[in-house]
Amino acid sequence: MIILAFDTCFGACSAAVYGANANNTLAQRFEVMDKGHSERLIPMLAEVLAGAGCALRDVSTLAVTVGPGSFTGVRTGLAVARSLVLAHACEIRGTTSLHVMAAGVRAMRAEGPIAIAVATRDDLVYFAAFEGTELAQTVAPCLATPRDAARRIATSPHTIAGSGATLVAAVHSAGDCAHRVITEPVFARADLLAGMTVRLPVLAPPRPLYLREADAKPAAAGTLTFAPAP
Amino acid sequence: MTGGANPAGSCLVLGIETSCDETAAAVVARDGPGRGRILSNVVRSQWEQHRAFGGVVPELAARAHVECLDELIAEALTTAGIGLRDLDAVAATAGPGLIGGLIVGLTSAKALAFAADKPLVAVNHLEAHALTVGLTEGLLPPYLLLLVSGGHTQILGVEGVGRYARVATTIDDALGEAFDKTAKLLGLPQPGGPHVERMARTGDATRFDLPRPMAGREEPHFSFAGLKTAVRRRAQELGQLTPQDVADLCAAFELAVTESVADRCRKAFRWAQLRGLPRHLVIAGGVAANQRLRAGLDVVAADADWTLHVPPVALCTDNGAMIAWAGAERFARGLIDPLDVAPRARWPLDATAIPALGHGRLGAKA
Repeated sequence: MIILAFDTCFGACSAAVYGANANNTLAQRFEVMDKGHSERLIPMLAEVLAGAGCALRDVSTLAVTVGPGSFTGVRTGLAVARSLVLAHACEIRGTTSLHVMAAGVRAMRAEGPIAIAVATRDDLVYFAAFEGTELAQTVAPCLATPRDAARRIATSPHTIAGSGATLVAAVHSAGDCAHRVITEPVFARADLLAGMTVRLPVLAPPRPLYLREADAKPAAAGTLTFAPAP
Repeated sequence: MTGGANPAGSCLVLGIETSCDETAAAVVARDGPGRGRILSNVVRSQWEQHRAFGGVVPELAARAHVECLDELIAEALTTAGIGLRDLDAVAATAGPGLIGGLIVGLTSAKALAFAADKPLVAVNHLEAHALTVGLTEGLLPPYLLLLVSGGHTQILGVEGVGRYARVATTIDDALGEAFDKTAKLLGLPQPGGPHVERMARTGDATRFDLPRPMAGREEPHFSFAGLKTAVRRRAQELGQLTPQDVADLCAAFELAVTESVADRCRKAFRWAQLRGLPRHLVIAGGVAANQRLRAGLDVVAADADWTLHVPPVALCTDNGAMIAWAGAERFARGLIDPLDVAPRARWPLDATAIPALGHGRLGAKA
């Protein structure tokens, strides 16, 4: 069983080919980038498949991150996944970017509950929390203020990671338990996603998880007045 | 980058369009001598999702594209009775347009091209409008093109596939945009073009004297922002507007637009004659659906001994067939693109044209 995993949600683009029978990564690429995911992703998929010595037709499962992330990044990954399935009928499994980041934190030998907080430009955080070896979700992904995020995990000590981790830890109130903050960057790396894939749900089709409405205001009424219809 | 069409020059191309608020996919066949045939053409308008906002919201458009594009592509292939492996190339609009939507369509096309091992053709949306008449009536360049849509208003000398000379462009609003804004201020629903046209049918075009923007100017550029403001002033002077007032204003607006565009085309005819272009005027873009504009241009063309060519309305508004056709025309000439090609929100067809006013710090839009 060959898994092709990729992620384009936040500030990196990554892809991995994984042999689920032997539980090993056959090939992977990981590049930090703020933009240009849609240009890089397909060549990167070609590179990892070639590196693993296989072709797309050998892939039995695609694994994707559905968000949250930059809106464009989220769509890039899902547009590619949905088109690949159109061309090569295989299954798609997936999860949130925050879940894969938590797997990254666990891989750093962090024990106990894990919270992921990714800072947004308007001082909010994309937030979720997980526990146990299977990283069961204890706080569902949400867009929250650092204060609200801190409140959700106030009763048990968590390892908090992500670009918003210090924001969440900073609003620690008296009586809250002490958290541990990981300051090194964490990413939703495709090789981690690939390793989780067999436990993830099948998504048919995968749909974006934006956690934020589009920025749009209803049209203002005009200034002219109209006679009632005769 | 270049690649090869098959020896006979015939090809089957999938076209994907996501540059604004229509999600579209189509399959077009091009035969050896260069004739085109539409095998399928699926378009889904998102207008209902944008209605409450009074215009297209880019992020909503991008969200809608990614939700339904794969279904539309599957439908286009099924209707055409072919599978991906039967295609010779995958084409998608790469610009100009709303970047979020362009990324969805172009990235999907790359994934399909990669998965099916087919060449990718990154199509300029304006080039697709420009070449549509080759698909619909076999008219091949050179000719003069008037492109009038919600996002673009240009006159181009179409010299050949990939070779365009911009004769004129708008220095402010696009013509379709002017229709939309006029409809909005007169309390008519969006999209404004069809509603202004419907109201204008029962209106008296002579009751209000509106300006003919740019008329008489030597360079055949367009301007519509002032015309829209003039409509607003006349409406404000009336106080409370009756349905007849609205109809008369719509008729006057339509007449002013038609006469302005006609004047600009006459100027462009002179430019075309100096260049030795044959006397064919092609209209493309959604505003080409306007009957009064067509009739007005028919007269202008006939007076100057030119022939007017207008594709069917469904192929004037945004659609996948024109993208597939432009893709086929490029593919047949060996023009294909690498899988890391970037979408371009701004992509003028004539890179040498001097930007007109209002092009912004990022350069000419189109």
